[in-house]
Amino acid sequence: MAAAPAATPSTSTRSGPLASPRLRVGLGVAVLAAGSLVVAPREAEPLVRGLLVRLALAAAAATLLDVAVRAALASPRPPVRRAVVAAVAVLGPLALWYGAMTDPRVRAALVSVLAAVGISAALFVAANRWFDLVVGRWSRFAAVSGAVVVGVLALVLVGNRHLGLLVGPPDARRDLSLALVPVLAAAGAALGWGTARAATRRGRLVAGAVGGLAIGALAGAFLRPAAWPALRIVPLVVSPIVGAVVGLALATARRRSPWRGTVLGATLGWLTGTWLVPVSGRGTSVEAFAAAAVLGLGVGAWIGLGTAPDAAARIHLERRARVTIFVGPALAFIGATLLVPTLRTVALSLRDRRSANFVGLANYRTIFRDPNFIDIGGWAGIPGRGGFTAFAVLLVVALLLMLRGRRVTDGVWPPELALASVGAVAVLALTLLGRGQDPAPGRSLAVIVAVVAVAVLLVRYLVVNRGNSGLAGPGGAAMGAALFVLAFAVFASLRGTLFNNLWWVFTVTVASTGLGLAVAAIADRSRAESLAKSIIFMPMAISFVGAGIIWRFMFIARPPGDRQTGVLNAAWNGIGRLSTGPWRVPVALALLVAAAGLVALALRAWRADAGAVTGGSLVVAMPLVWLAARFLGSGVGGVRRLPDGTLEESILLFLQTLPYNNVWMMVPFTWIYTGFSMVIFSSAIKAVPADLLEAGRVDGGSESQLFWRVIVPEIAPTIGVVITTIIVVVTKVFDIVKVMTNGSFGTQVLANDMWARSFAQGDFGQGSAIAVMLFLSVLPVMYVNVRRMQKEAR
Amino acid sequence: MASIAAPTGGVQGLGRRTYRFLSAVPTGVLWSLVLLWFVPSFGLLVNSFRTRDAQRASGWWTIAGEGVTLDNYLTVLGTGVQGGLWKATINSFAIALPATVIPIALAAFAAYAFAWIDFKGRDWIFIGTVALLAIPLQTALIPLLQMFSGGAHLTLPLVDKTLTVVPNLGLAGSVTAVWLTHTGFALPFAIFLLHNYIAGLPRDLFESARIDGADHFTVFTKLVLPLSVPVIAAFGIFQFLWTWNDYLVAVTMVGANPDALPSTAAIASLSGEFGIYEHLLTAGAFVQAFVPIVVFFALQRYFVRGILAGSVKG
Repeated sequence: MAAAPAATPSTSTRSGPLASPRLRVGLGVAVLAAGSLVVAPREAEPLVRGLLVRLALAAAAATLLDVAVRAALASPRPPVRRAVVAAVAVLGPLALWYGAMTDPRVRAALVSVLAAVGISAALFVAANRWFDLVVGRWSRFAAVSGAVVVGVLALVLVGNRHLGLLVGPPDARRDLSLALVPVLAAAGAALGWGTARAATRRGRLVAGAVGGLAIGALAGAFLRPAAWPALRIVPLVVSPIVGAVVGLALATARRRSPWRGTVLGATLGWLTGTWLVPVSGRGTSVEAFAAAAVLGLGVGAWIGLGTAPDAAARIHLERRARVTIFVGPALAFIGATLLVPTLRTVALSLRDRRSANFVGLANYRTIFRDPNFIDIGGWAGIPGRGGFTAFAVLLVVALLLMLRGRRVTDGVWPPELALASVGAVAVLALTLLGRGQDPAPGRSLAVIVAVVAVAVLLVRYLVVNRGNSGLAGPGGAAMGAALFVLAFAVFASLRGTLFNNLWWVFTVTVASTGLGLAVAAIADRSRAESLAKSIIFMPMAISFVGAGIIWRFMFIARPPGDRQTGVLNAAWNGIGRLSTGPWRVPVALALLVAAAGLVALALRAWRADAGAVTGGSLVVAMPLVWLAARFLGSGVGGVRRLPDGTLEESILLFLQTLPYNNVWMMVPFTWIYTGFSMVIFSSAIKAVPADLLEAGRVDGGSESQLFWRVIVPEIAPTIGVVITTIIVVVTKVFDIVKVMTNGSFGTQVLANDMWARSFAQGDFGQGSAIAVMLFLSVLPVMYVNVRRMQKEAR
Repeated sequence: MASIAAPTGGVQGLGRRTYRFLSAVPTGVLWSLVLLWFVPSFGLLVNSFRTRDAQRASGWWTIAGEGVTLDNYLTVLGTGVQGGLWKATINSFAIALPATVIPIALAAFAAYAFAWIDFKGRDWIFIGTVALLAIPLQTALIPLLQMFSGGAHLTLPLVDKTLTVVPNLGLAGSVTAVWLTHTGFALPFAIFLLHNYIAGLPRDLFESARIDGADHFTVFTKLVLPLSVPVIAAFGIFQFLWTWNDYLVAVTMVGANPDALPSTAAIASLSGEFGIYEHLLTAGAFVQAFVPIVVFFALQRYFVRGILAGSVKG
């Protein structure tokens, strides 16, 4: 991504009164602020606050307007688009401002945004200015630091609800105790200033000790009675001594000043001996005063014993502080809203539903024993599924194509491939023989063993012939299709939340990646490319909830006999009418003619050695023949002819019929994410070096060979990125399932199960357990992503 | 898929006319896909202008000859149903604006430091931050909800004292809880995206500025921010649409509080009573999608760039 030119405001070339942005914004503020008095008469709010809010909102709107209009004018666009953008740029900020003026909730939202941004910006600037002082003005920096550290500490001690240690005079109000904060901060500033300015070591020590004593005494005088420590002689003597010894030892070991180490150790020991070991709240005010004063004295002396940093150390400090200022806020935010909650979820998953008691892995055990979560009882039915028959057929086709490809190139029949073909034919035979029978476990076992044997042989063959395996050719395509339908047969038989989720991940990833790649490849450099791509990409702007609703209307089913209002059921019904109506014989004949043409094409292509055309034509011809047969027979689709000649209408209950209702719900998701992968692939394909493609053409490669042999290897990393991204998104699928079925009719997925268990049933233990499983299932993908980024960083 | 591959190698063998027929197949596939992608939203749009009776009696393709009506839009925007979608739209703004602006600010600082300030452990912290991209939102929902509804407290072991780390600010059921959550979850991606861009700015720029005596703060505000406008716009649009279209965080954090419900949650609750509200749902879905679609068509370039940059570096 090249550094785009900075937005050059078109006004900069123009002179005149509106050339200065400050003037423009100022004018805007004045107009809007005046306008606000007209639009929204002042209500019963404090005068100053009302005016301030108006002024702030006017300023925000004017700035936004200025930025948006300048950006809209600066970009080179066709005039129509430019007009739309300019209109949005003008109307957007104005609408926001008007909304804020007339609706108190909009106003509250905007004011909170402004406040959040303003306060953060102020803190950021202030922190930067603070550490600007480090290098040049050390004593001023020390004073500010003292004030900040002591002030924040005081604020925590006063404001924390559970601590609430510092209070004003007995029975003082809260705001009075808050007044302690500036006083203590000022004392902190004096301490910092004094230690930094003192010329001698002794001076520094005295300044530190006096300042610390003052702060400690002040704080001790206003301690809440509940925090008055009862001083016991033993801990009071023992723990400072222990602390001092430990501190001395550590300081000596680390070659630091032994005095400082001793003082720090003793001070921490004092803190332990006064507040942490005895029970607080049993002492007197004198004890509290003394304990706090000595603590302050210790800390002050520790500071005073330190040496003032030299120039190099200051530069080092400045840089470290700067890093903290720049990175700290983001990391703190991430820690508080992402990292800590994630760890806490792990802990909650080991506790009971109300997080009261530790239960070990009981939640996980409950979930895994839940037949709604995992149900493998249907495995014996796998070979009986239509999908499995399709798999067996495709497998044989794929092996034939591969065998032919190998014999053409090498003139030999590879033994593994020949063996695998025999196995595949056996699978097909077993499958066809058993069609329509009750699933018999023995036969299923035979089929599954055969499948595994074929798979092992194939894998071995592919590994041996790596690079020239014919995978990129039509045989590979047929093999891919075979595995796809096999996965469907498997997922349709194994039920439960976990398998549903796996099915989602598999199907949506394959479908959106494949469709996106196909669209990107076909649309590349074709006419109306941008129109086609815009339409396919548009769903990316629509929410999952919206997509779920949009597709609910596609799937809608009215009672049989009524007019269907959903596109899909209407089409289903229409085909039914056609296949049972007067036109059925002519249509069937036309279909047969088309199929015959395709078969002829396939034969020619077979001789011309165009395997893809052969396969494609046959794949299209087969359903045509089937369709023609049904047209001549009992009809197909929403209307069937019964043996007695009457017509019967039926409808498709897309979202209620197990197990393929899962697949229907994947359609909206694919509808959205195909655009995503298409856009990424499209730009990757355009980035393939032209001379590479040219070289391929010169060598006589066909377009399809260029695609498989040049483009696909070239964009392979991008394919990886798209696949990992989509896997992560689909693993977390929630909205569509929640809106379309809410997990009923056997369509539950992990994220919705997690939500239902935690927030509908109130079981935080099991909810957290599923959340942890979700996390674990994206962990491998995360690992891949991080490795990739590490590689890119190098 | 297989028919896409129309090999030129076999042209002679197949004949010119056959080849021309075959080479039209991919385009045909493309435009049927485009039609398939277009029909669902177009059908819904048409239906939103039809009365309930018309919608239930026949499909949207029969609109020719019927009258059109704006009643669905008026009803759904008014306060009649579920508190009104107008209010929900305002709530969506109240969530999406801060959830876009604040991550940009925080991430820009961090991205600059990760790119141009040398410090110990920089690479590892950066990779660690970016790795968090893959953490599912679900993993943090329960503790976050607990924090927003009761604060976060840490019970110190041994001494048995409870520290309030985060006070109870009464955020449960508010839009603030929603955008705070979004901000946290947006940051790894924002840092990643902005870092890629800022790290690619020319080194000379920074060196000459440093020689002129500018500190990091000045460099950041005067040089990096203005130069990063394209990537900030890209991320901003991406994040705005993401938060506008989010449902999970909204429905978890806002719960049933109708005063803070954003538009996705509002139409989802309409959808919960499909039989009663199906005619309004058509209009509701379009009101909810109106802002994203305007952004999509007006700023498609940045939108695409945001998605591209988020996935493919370079």
